[in-house]
Amino acid sequence: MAAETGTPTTLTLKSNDDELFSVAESAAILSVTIRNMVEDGCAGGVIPLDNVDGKTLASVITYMNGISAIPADEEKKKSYRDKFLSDKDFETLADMVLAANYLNMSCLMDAVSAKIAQVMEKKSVGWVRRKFGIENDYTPEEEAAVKEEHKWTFEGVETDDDN
Amino acid sequence: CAKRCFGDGDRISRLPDDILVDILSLLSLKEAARTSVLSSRWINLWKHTPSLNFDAKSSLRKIKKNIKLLKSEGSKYVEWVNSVLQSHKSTTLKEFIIHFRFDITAENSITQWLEFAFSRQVQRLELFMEKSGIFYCFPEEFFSPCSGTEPKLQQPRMLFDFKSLKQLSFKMIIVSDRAIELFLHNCPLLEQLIVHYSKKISKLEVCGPSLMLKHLELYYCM
Repeated sequence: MAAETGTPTTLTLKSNDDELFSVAESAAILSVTIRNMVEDGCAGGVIPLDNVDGKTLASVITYMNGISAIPADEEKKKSYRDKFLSDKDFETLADMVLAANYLNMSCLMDAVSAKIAQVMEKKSVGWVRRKFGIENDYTPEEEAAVKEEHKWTFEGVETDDDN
Repeated sequence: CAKRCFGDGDRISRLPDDILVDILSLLSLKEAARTSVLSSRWINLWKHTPSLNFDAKSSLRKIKKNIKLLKSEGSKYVEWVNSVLQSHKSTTLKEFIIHFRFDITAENSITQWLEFAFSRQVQRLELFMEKSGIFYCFPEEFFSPCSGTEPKLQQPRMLFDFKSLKQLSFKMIIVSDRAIELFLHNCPLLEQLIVHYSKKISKLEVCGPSLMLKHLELYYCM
């Protein structure tokens, strides 16, 4: 598309599984990685994002569009972020934090990290393992030894993991 | 269910260490350290979190009036902090918070904890004690120049570098006006200074070569 004065510039982003996405430059430059590419003049054609898959990139772009449409109002931005992350499953959250790190988007990174911490809070070891798919590679003896060494972390803790 | 839950593997454990440590830093110390039991990937991550908050407020509240329990809780607290500091690996500290009921047997340990925090360029330090009738005295020796065999250089080298300290709070600690003045003089980034219930302050001169102080709170300091 020929860029004319007054026409918003659109960038094309390519995921590592070769999906193409169009996104307004004004939204995409929330990513410092992308902004640097634009500033260096590398954004003429397609911007390859080798560390992000299509599913995650689609989600990140939804976030970019959503958050950049909100005027400078930190409260509203925060509630958008909360809502945006509320329905994400645990795998998606881990993918998002990796993508946010690669794209250098501190606001998304902080929000996703906070969300992951929040879901881990007050949960039992078993619950966190199940929900995040963490494979327990300890032998029963090793696990007992680690538990014994960190006994204090289990004292006075009430976990809430019925769901 | 195992298959469905595990999906194509353990995504979160594949995150780089620094990201996982950032996430763990958002949890309480206890919660963060409990993740060591998840799997071998997690065993040491919590030891790198830059925030150490040893707050025993809630357990102290439960046993408020029981002196015997308070005593045993006090020595358990000291053991707890000591064991965490022994295994902790972060080279810098954003936050170091001590909150318990002082007992004279804890004196040396507290001095060591402060050394630990200062040697890791702590940014926010809180030393809070519950009322117990006896007080910990903040050691002014922290400000003494190093006494080494090396010939005297242009300036005496301090035992610690206090240059990262931004927030400092003492409650129920005896801290002299000289110590406070030395902090003001040696902490160019200090923004907040809070001293509650310290008996040794009589005349305080608030000045420093590059004072950034925004909040000074002295409460019951006579």
